[in-house]
Amino acid sequence: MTREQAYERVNKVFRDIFDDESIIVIDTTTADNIEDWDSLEHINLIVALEEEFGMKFTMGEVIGMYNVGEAVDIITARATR
Amino acid sequence: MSIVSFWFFVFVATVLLVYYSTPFRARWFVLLIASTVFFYLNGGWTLYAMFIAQTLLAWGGSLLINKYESSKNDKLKNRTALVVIAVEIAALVLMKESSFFIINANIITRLINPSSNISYLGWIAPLGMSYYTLMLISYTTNVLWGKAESQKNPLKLMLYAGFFLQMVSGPFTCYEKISAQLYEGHKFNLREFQFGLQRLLWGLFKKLVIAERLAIIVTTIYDGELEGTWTPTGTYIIIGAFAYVFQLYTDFSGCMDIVLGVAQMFGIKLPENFRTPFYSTNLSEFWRRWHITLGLWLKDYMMYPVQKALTTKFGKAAKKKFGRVWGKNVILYASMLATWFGIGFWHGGSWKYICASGLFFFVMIVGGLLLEPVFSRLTKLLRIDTEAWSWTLFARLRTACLFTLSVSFGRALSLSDGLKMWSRVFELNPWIFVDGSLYRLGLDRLDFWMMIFGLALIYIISQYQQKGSVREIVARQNLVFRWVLYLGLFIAVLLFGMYGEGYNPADFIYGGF
Repeated sequence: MTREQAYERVNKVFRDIFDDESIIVIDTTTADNIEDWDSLEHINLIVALEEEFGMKFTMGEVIGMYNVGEAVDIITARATR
Repeated sequence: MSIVSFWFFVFVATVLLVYYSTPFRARWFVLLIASTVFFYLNGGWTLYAMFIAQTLLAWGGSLLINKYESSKNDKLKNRTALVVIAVEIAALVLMKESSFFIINANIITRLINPSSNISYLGWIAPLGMSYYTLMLISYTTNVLWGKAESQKNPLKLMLYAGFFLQMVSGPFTCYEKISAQLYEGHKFNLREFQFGLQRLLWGLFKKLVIAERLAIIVTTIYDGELEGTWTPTGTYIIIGAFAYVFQLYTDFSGCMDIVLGVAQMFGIKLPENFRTPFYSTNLSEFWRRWHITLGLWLKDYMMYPVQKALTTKFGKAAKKKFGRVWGKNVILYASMLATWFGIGFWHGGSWKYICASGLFFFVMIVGGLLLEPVFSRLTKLLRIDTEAWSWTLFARLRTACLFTLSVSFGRALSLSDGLKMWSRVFELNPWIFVDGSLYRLGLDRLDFWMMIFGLALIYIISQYQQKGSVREIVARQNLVFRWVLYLGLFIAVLLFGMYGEGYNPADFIYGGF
């Protein structure tokens, strides 16, 4: 899976979770850039990404994921494995 | 040894001297020896042995986790972590909160057999146990999750978990974030040293000049009731509650200023525990700015794991049953309930803390989330400008009042005593503000106004803190102004601080948790 392909799907998950069709995520997008992405929504986002890509994140990855780039890194690394 | 006592500063000065005259490689060992001495002075060897046992458990456990990691034995790896964490929690609960279970067990067993009585264990928890135990749990968990490398040297792990400055009231630190700072020797840096000293001074001012005066008013109001000497009513109850919340703030944040200030003198930057909390516009924000490191700990090691496990297991079923939004919310609220219960319980094993420091916030925050649509419709209907300065002020006051109400129960003897007290708040007596009654709460006129002045000073400093580091701002001023300020603060602490012969500063409130 290329990063572009991963991004397309990650973007779809973000729009779906935060109910906002105008969201466009990039590597440096963090919780500060998206209004509703707070600690209460973090896990919902993670689980939605897991479902979308059919993979599981470890708890270490979950609490260490500070921006979208890190999430995409993990997703692409795991998809090529 | 209290950290506002003369001997503590002799101790710190000695450790600083030895630290900076020891070769870099051995400087961490000086901190370890200092921490050992501090433990001994505060509880003796038996209690220190408990700390060592708990640290060795986490140390051995993490090495085993690594071993199973390399042999890809996930089952044993997880099991090891589980055992370590369970034993650490069991030790904390047994030593600190056993009476909670015994009281409640007694209530239940007496329903069946009125004469039954389980007696209390009466064990004393070692210094800082609530702090080091949670830090050892976070260390073990992070090794399990692959976030931290395990520490091969048990002595180094003992320094991480038992660094003496953190044993009084925290802050909680993450092993992988702080360890390098603890183990590498720091070069003496004059600017860092001065900044640390200034912060230490500010902390002493908060504790000795303000918190100790507030403590007298709080004691008069709350303990007068306990001893049956007088029954505070109306305005006294409100004054008592606000005096207590400001005491708690100046006491705890003052303690943090001392701890972080002294750490900075060693060249170590511990994480902040406060960020001007009374500027928060809602309670969730308040808890992100008050006792920050406890909140972060609970989020990472309690709320997220519970929420993730619940979502993975029941997410789909909940969505089917309650719909897309509500399915998600039900799970979120369940994990928040567990977390707030944890926060309450950590403060002390009694229903008073569980309700006032935990469940109260759960109800308020979840209530706020549930009523959010109603509120936003109401503000639109009434055409309230929520961006306006006056609205922000209102929101801050509302948040501060709710927090004050909740912590006042923590100061009362029990939940029912707190309720009894608040039930008398409507017996109006606003004239106490003008008839001199305020000067009969234990502080004379001068002391009373000194306390008000101190609080006003904190307010002014907080305004500047909103914009950045106050010490940076001061450092940019000219020499005379700076020294007048430092000396003024120093003299204020010496002259107006409540300490010395015949006066025993109250223990730090958070040291008791």
